[in-house]
Amino acid sequence: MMNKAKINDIVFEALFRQAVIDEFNEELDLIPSNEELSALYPFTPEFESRMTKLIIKDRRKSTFKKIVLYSKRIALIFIITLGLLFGTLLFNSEVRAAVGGIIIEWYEKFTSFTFREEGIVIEKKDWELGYLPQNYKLVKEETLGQITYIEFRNNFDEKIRFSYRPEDSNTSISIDNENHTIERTQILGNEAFSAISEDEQFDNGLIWNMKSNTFDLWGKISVNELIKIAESIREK
Amino acid sequence: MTDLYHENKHLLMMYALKILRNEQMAEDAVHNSFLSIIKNKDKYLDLDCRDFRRLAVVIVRNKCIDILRTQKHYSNKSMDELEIFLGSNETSVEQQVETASEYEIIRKHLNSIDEISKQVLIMKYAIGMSYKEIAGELGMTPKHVDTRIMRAKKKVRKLLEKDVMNDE
Repeated sequence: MMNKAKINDIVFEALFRQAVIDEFNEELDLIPSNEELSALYPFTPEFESRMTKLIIKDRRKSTFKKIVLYSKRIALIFIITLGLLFGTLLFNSEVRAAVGGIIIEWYEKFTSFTFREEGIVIEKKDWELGYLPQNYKLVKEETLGQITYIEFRNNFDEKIRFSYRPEDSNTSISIDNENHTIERTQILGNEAFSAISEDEQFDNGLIWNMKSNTFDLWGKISVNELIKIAESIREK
Repeated sequence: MTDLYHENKHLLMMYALKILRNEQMAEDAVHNSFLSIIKNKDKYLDLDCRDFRRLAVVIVRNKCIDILRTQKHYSNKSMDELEIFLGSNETSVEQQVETASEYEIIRKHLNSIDEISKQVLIMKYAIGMSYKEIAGELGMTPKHVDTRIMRAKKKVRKLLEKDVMNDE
C-alpha cells in the first residue's frame, strides 16, 4: 500500500521525468515497419511531386554552396600566393626599384616616364647646370606650374633644352621610341635613361630622377656630353 | 537527404494524421517538417537513425500544432482551447488498472495530458531542450513553457494521489 506522505517532490520529479522519456521511447519502438506504414499512410502524387521539387532545390542549393565555398578557397589561396610572390619579389632591389620607383609605360610610338613616390609631398626646388659645352648661353627660362624649362643656344643656333619638375607633379616625359634607342645609365648614382637618336635631325636625350625631382636634358650633342652636363647639376 | 526522406516520411505522416485527422493538412505538416529539417540539416545529418527519428517526430508534432493554430477555426482561440481540441483521455485512463506502482501510475496518467503539454515534456525531458529552445519552436514564451510543465506535473500528481487514496 502506498502512502500519500511518501510521495515526495524529488521522487515524483524523477519518476515523472523517466516516465515521459520511456513513454516517448516506447511510442517510437512500437512504430510499425516502413512497409506497413507505407501501406497505411500513402501520399498523394501532388505531395510526392512537391517533395521531389524540394529535394532537388536543396541539392542544387548545396551544390551551389559548395562551388562558392571552393571558389572562395581558391581565390584566397591565389591572393595569398600572389601576396607572397609579390612580397618575395620586393626583396629584390631591382624589382623594388622598377615597381616602386619608376613606372614606365610603353606605347606604340612613345615611351613615357613617370617617376613617382606615392604619398610624399615634394617641395619645389630650383636647379642649375654647372657645366655647358662651349659657346652655349642661356636664352630662355620659364616656369609653367610645377615645370621649369631652360633653353641654351650656341652660335650655330643649336639648342640644349633642360627641364625639371617635382616627382608629384603628375606629368610624364615621352620619348619618340621610333627614332630613339633607349638605354639605362646612371647620373650621380641615380638611375637614368638615355635616348640615343637614330637620325641626325633628332636630339639625344637624358632623363633621370634625383632628390624627388625628375629631369630631362636634350641636345644635338653626344650622350656622354649630356651626361657630363647632367652631372654638373646643383641646387640653386 | 533523399534517404532520410524516404525512410521517415510515412512515420511522420502517421503522427501528423493522428494529430490533425486530415490528409491534406497532414501532408502539409510533413512537408513543413522536411523544410525545417533541410534548413537545419547540418544539425541532423550526423545523427544516427534512431536519434533522427526522435527529432523528426518532435518536429512533425510541432508543425501539426503550428497548422492547427493557423486554421481559421482555431486561430482566434487560446492555447487552452486548442488543448481541449487535441483531446485528453482522462476518463479512459481512470478506468485503467487499479493497482500499480507509482511509476506505472504516472505512465498511465501521462495519457491524460494534452498534446501540446506532452510535446513540451518530450522536448524538455526526452530531447533535452532548454525552455528557451522549446519556446522558440512552439512560439511561446519560456515562462509559458514552464507553466505548461508545472501544470502537467500538477495534473499527473493529483491523479496519482487520487489513485493512491483509492488504493488505501
